[in-house]
Amino acid sequence: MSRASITGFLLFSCLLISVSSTIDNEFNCNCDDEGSWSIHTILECQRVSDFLIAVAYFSIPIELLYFVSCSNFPFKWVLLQFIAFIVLCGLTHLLNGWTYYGPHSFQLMLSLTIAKFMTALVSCATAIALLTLIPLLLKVKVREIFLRQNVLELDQEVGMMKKQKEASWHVRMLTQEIRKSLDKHTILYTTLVELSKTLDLHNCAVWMPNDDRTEMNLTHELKASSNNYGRSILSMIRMPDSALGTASGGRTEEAGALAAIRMPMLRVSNFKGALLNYEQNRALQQARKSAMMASQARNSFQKVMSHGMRRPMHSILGLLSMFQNENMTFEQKMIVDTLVKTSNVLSTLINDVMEISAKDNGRFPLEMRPFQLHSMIREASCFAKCLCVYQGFGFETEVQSSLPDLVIGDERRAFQVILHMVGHLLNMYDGGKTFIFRVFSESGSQGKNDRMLGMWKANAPHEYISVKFEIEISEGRSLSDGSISATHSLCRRHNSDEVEGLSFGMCKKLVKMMLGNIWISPSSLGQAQGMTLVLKFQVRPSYVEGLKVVLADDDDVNRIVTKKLLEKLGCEVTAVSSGFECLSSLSSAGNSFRVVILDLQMPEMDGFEVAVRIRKFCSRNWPLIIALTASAEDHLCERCLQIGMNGLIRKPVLLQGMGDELRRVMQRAGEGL
Amino acid sequence: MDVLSHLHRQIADFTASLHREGFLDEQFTQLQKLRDESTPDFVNEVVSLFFEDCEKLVTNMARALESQTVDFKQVDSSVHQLKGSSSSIGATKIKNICIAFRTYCEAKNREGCVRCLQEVDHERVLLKNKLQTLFRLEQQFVTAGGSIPALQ
Repeated sequence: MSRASITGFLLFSCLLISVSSTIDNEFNCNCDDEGSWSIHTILECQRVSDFLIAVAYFSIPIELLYFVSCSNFPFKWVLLQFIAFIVLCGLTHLLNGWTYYGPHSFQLMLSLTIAKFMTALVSCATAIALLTLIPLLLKVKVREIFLRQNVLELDQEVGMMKKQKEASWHVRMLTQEIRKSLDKHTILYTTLVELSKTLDLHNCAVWMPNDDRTEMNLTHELKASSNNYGRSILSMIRMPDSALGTASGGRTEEAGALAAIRMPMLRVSNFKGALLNYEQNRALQQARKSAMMASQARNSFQKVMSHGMRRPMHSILGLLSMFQNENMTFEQKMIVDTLVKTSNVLSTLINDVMEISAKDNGRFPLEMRPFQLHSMIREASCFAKCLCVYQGFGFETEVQSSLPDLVIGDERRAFQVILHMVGHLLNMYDGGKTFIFRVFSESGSQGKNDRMLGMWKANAPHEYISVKFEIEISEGRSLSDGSISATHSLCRRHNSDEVEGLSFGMCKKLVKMMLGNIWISPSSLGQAQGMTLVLKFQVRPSYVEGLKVVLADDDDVNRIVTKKLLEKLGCEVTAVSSGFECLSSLSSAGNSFRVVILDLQMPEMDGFEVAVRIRKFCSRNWPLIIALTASAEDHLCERCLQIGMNGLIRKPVLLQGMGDELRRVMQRAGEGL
Repeated sequence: MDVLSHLHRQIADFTASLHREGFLDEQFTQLQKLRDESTPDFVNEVVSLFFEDCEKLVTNMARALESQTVDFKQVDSSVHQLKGSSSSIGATKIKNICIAFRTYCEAKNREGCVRCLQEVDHERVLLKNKLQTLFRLEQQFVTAGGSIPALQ
């Protein structure tokens, strides 16, 4: 707004001047026009310039005032003086403008004089004031420059301090890195690397004393320098002219600034905080080492066993199997069978050693399989006789003839125990005695009353027989070959205190697993005179013996053939030729039929319908239904099972197939499935 | 002794030839195993029964195929029955023809069926003769004093 007022004032003053000049021109122009450069014109110019000067002198203070009001100028009074001076000057010049023509009035002269006088006063005062002002201004300026310099310096210092702080922070973080491992070398190397990163080192090296503390060896270095000063030997560390300094200084003649740090290697006892970790770590390492050694030992043991014992056994077994295929006499065959069995036992024992050592629980499973008891007894006797003959014993055997042949049990383990018994007893004596081997059955118990097995096989008609194997050494007639008996007539007191040995303990374990019992009957002298082994075997139940079966088939040939087949298996067969007859026979004879064998494709009522009806009529105690079919449909089996049948046999019927299916169905029914 | 072993060998050779020519298969051997002391004529009975059934079925099928509108379903069921019987005594050739017969029945091919039927009949006669020879030999063997298990 002041600017606008200033410009307004300027314009107004210009207008005023022009107006006054024209008026003056009209009043005072009584001279003649001679040319442009006459006195008149000059005087006019002077006048105009006077007025302009006045205008300028009036506008300057206004500007100054404006600026003073705006800013914060320190020396206001000097400025005001200056303003007054200028204003007065302007006034003077303005008044001068009216003094160019004619006589002047008294007031005009008076005012002019006053103005001039005032102007003189003020200007003198301003001059004096300025004299004192200028040094002050200079001082202010100098201080300003000084301050600016200070600010710059401070900035620099702050920058440096920040850098130092960062470096110290990095060094503190180092400890975290170091704590990551307990290995001395890792720690030193990590320290090297981190320090050089933080402090921006050119190179960093670690020297450690050797064992005698006579030399210092360079152990870690960040950058391998080109000149390999290798492992220089020092005696002392002293700065700056130490051997260390010169050694690490490199090729340059003058050693640069050097700083060495002595780091104490902490002993465990010195530092309780790290004790636990360190100790634990060491203990763990020890444990790991010993575990590894143990497993290595076991591995090498297994390798040796496998190589030295298992492989030869495999070769022997292979050769024996080739023997078995040959045509031999009965005795030869028996001997070969015995060989095979014995080598199987040995192979089992080797496998036991190797596998039990690998497993940690020390248990091994029994393999219950059906086998022939008669042949096992025969081979055991053969084996015992061989040994007896070799050692000069007489051999007698008594085997009960009514023992069943097909039993279920672990043949290998039973044979192993018998072999042990024989060997053990024969080792006790030197010969000249008779070895009697007896096998007979104890009264077989019905499985249903056996609590141990009854728990999980409740309804199965299992029969167990207890077989007693008895071995006895008796005084008596020895072999006819007198020489052998004479030399070995002494009774070898072989470990007489130890009637039972290590292997006997193993046998006992085995026998207990097979739910049997083994004991030694001592003689009057305290030595072993006989051994008895009682084992329980499960007689293979014949599911099919005496089974009552209804057979329904419309084709006569098929019916007769299948009936004959079933009779061969031991069943009691009622054969009918249609579904109706089948149903009537079932309902008439009560529920005595256990199995119904149905041909699926019968003309009047096919097998499926018969099955459905049977299921409807006989609500409890269903007979088992087995389907016979000649078709090769895929989903027939599922269809049969859906209807409620228990089994399926495809025609043509074979003896083996029929027997297996019957047994399977009976077994499943027996187990309650 | 000489006669017995001679007869034994003859029977074995003959049976082997029957097997080789494809008249009989493993099933027949199984059948022979079912024979024992109590039922020495088991195989004979079964075989004669089979041939009776076969004849009956063939006549039925011939009649069915001669009629104007052939009831293929009935023919098919008869063929099925024949196939079952022949496979249970081990008459291989007849069984194989029956398999082909069934496909013709399903395709409702009259000429094919008639042709198959004629083949079946032909084979039946052949097999009947062969087996009758075999049984005669076996009879001789038994009268000469041989025991049946030795035949197996």
